[in-house]
Amino acid sequence: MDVKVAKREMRYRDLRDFLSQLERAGELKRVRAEVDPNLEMTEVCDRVLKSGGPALLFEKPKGHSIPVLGNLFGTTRRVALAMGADPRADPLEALRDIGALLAVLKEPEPPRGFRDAFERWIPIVKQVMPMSPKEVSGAPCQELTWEGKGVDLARLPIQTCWPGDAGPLITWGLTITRGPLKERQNLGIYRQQVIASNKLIMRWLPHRGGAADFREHSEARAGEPFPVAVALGADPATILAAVAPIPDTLSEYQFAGLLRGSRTEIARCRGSDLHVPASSEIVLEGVIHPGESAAEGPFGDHTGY
Amino acid sequence: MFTVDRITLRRDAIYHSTYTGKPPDEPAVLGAALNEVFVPILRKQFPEIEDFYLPPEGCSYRLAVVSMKKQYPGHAKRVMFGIWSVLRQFMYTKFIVVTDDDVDIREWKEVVWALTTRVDAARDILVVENTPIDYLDFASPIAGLGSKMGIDATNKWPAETSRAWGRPIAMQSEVKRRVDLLWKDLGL
Repeated sequence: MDVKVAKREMRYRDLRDFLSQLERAGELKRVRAEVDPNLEMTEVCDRVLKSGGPALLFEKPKGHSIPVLGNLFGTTRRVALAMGADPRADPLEALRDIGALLAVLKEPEPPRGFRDAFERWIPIVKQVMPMSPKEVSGAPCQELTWEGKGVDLARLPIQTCWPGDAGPLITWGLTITRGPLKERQNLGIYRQQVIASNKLIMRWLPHRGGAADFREHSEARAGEPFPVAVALGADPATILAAVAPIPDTLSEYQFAGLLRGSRTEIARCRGSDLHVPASSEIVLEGVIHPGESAAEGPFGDHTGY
Repeated sequence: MFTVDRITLRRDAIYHSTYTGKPPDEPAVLGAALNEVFVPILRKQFPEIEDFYLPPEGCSYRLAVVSMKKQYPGHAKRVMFGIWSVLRQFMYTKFIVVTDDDVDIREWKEVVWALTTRVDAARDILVVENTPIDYLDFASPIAGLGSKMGIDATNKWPAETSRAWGRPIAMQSEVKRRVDLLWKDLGL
């Protein structure tokens, strides 16, 4: 299989840099009118998505000062750009190139002799190896800290998506966990229902990494709280790495670095050993206390019900 | 239940959001894009696979249509089990339809044509019970556990059928060329 391994230049630094590139290309519009995160935003985003329209930055969510970004991955082209595709390339071809690279990384064929190693392997290894994440101090995502009574999820413009939903729902929560026996962290997108000023219900399916880490933790360290971090507004490559079929031998941070063309910068949480993308807009730090679970929902789902 | 102890933010933070609803929604667009990423991964594992498609109407993962270059009797079944096993992403795919590579699987009309002309229900439908299912899928009898179906809509080979099998009708290319030349004189 041919894999294009042309050296990638850095596509964007972080979510903000990506958004300003989109805005210059007419792929992002600012909404200056007041729109309610309760139901109204769903209706606006739904109409724009169905017409193949731009990403939306709601500058005045009703009752909030924090702007809301919606419809970011609303077209195939924006998904491809977020994965580091060249803006001049055909988005479908760019996505297949990424699939081809993943196929090779998932099951590398041994090089067939020296010439093959030189032409095919070295470029791939050169791209992947230097992409391990880099820990930084003074990370942007920790410029401000809300603690104690300041921890109030109602301060965030969290959407209530559909009539009949049980409450506001965090939808793009990049959830970071680590099992007790592993060095490597798991990154997954799980939806989270707000049920109190500092409580969320985490919906992770049993086969997903976060649920597996929690199970292993509960067996190995019964009775101890399980640390969790949720990054909102990480750079797009990291968000997409969490949903892409990447091989177990590669971390999401490495793969994101590969897509973006630069090492992923990570920051240690203030309250745990977990590492979050340093450029995240918002980070929720906390724990799951043993024995605390709750029934979720009901919510409108992607199945249409 | 997740207890939040601390929230850290960038100055002038932005909150990133979406919603999920009946397709097309943002996850459906993302699913369609990831579909293109899946194709080379599947073809690496099963070079006989020609194309792979998860229709957004099927919630982006619950139904898959695959076209393949069939090489031996029973080959379509091997491809079904392969897809169910090869990536975690297809663990909850309830239906897999397999066609030959002459079918454009992204055109539902062509898939229906293959289903209605190349399938005998009793022989070509495979049902596997008690497999993992998304617990939000209320159609499964038990939350988290349900059945899956594979439909072999490929042409049947001698070991699979004892009957003479039909061949798709196609006009000869020389006739087409001649009509192309005649066309301007036909007044159509």
